[in-house]
Amino acid sequence: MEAGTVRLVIDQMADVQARHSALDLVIVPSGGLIVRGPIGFSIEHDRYTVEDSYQIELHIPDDYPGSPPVVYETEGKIPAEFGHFMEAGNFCLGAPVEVRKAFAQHWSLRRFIDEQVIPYLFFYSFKREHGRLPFDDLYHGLVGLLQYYKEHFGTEFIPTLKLLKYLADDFAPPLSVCPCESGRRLQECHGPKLDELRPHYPPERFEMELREMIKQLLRENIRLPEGSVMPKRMWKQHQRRLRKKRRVRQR
Amino acid sequence: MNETYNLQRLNQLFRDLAEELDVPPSKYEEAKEHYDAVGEWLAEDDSELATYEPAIYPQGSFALGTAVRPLGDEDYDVDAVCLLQLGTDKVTQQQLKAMVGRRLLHPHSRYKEMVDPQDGGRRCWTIKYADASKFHLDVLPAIPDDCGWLIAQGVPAEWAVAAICITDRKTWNTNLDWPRSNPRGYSAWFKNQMRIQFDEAKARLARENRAEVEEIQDYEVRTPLQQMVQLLKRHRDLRYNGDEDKPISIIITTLAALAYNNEANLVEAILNVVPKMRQAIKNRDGVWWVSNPVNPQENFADKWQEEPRKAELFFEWLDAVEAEHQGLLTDRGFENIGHYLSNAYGERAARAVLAKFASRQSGAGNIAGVGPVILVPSKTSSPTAARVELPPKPSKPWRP
Repeated sequence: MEAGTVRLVIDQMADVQARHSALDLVIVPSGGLIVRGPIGFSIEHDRYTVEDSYQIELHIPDDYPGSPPVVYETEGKIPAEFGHFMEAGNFCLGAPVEVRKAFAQHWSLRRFIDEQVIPYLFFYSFKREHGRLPFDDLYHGLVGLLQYYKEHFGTEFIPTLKLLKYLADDFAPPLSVCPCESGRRLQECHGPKLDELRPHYPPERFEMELREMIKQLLRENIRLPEGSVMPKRMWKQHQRRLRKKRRVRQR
Repeated sequence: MNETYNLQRLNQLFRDLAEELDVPPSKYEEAKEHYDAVGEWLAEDDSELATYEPAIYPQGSFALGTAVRPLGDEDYDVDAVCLLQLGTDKVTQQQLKAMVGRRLLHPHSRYKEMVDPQDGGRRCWTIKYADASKFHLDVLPAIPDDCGWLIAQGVPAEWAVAAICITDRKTWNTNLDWPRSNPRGYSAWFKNQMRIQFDEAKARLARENRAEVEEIQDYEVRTPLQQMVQLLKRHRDLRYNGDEDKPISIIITTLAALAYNNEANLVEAILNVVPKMRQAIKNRDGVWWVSNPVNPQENFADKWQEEPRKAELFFEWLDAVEAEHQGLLTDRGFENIGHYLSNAYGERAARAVLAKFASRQSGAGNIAGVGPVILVPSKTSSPTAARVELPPKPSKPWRP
């Protein structure tokens, strides 16, 4: 890890500790930086006050603050059934691009904790105490991801996939007609919404997400205007496969 | 079990720390420009001092290479001797002090506004430079001392010849004897105590820069002794911030130099030297005594007599320094390095050093049996229930 990165985290700890004084910063033998310790919060919501505390670890990635920290709870207070975890067991704070987008607005460890980690912990505490969710979560799996993008763009699911294709192909002509069928040009319509997401992942990442979503939709026999939603590479592979099938049938 | 390993990484860490506390070479050059300019002004043809061939040279921490960056808003404190070729039979202390003062406050002098206070200090004239440079220069009027008596005391002639007489406003009306000092002899003695490492460091720097050893200035190199003195001084500053009875630099420097055995490793030097520093503090019939190595008659600890708390604090400080540094060698101690460094050397320096340490550490790979090292310790053990407002649109958690 670069000395400048370490210095940044050390400097940000002052701000963090002003609110969450029981957290410390350690370097583990493998060289990773971890902010760890108990954090407590008190949140008023819906006539209830929820007070709780958790033992957490924030693992600082090597490209910090390019990527946000990865968060774990270390006491096992949140059971696996809760489900909002990534494969490695870290918190799934939201749609991955949303987590990065929110963090890139401040690049501050303190605000990351207050605005992203604590709402997540509160989300679980509230559900445990009151048996219902304090605010909505996303649907399970790829549908949830698609839901996030639909809400972000404010569009139905086909236009959403078309817009995602622009990100996956890294090709979004500003003068083209916007896929949302408003009749306006992209630059005057959903162009800015695309610009909000574009900096946070490389096109390959959007392509990967879009591919997975389309595969899932096709498995469920949902009809799609394939050529205008599939990423370019996927579309070519798809056509090749279709041609092959046709040839086999003709023979 | 990891002592050797801890010693190694602690050494690198302490060297970074000493560098962080150090005064940059540019400040040494700036200081030299400042006192050389004063020397020129004092020696100009129309100066009443010109006939006495005034010469100016540094003394104190800038001469020893043990100066530390000032804490907070404080100034760099540079000390210089202004030596006039006069005898004690030709001039009185009052006259000597006044002569130098008149020249500095001369109507055409660029220093006349900068002398602060305008009537001079107890022993010296202080020149304050403009705020941005954060310097003040203490000019100590002095004349050569007769060195015969020092040589008779067993002080080597090469050091004794630099002895000087200085003035003291507090005693000059009651005591006709001139106060004596020997800063140049002291610098030479100090350098001699670290000769091997000093030559080594110069040769190393010359090799690195493909230069001749003669081209390397003294202030460009640091030996473990100099770095140790810098660390000890800053440790003292932080522990006794503003306490009038805090251990004084000249005693720390003298005792450390006496106990130093040209160790090449900074941490080893601290671990060896600190326990031995007590040995050179003598108790002569109930009087604490730390001799000036270039003037056995001078007791650096003379104030301990009137103020026994000074002695108490000094011994207490030595105990603390010894215990802390021993503790750091253990795994548990090392794991708390962040806590220790910010307490002992200040948060600013600690942050810079820990950042370097952590970036080195992250390239070093896994070390078996070594636990996490705390860089920034927590301020409390249990969390406070921070009142948090939910963001207007919190991210919706997802289940992949």
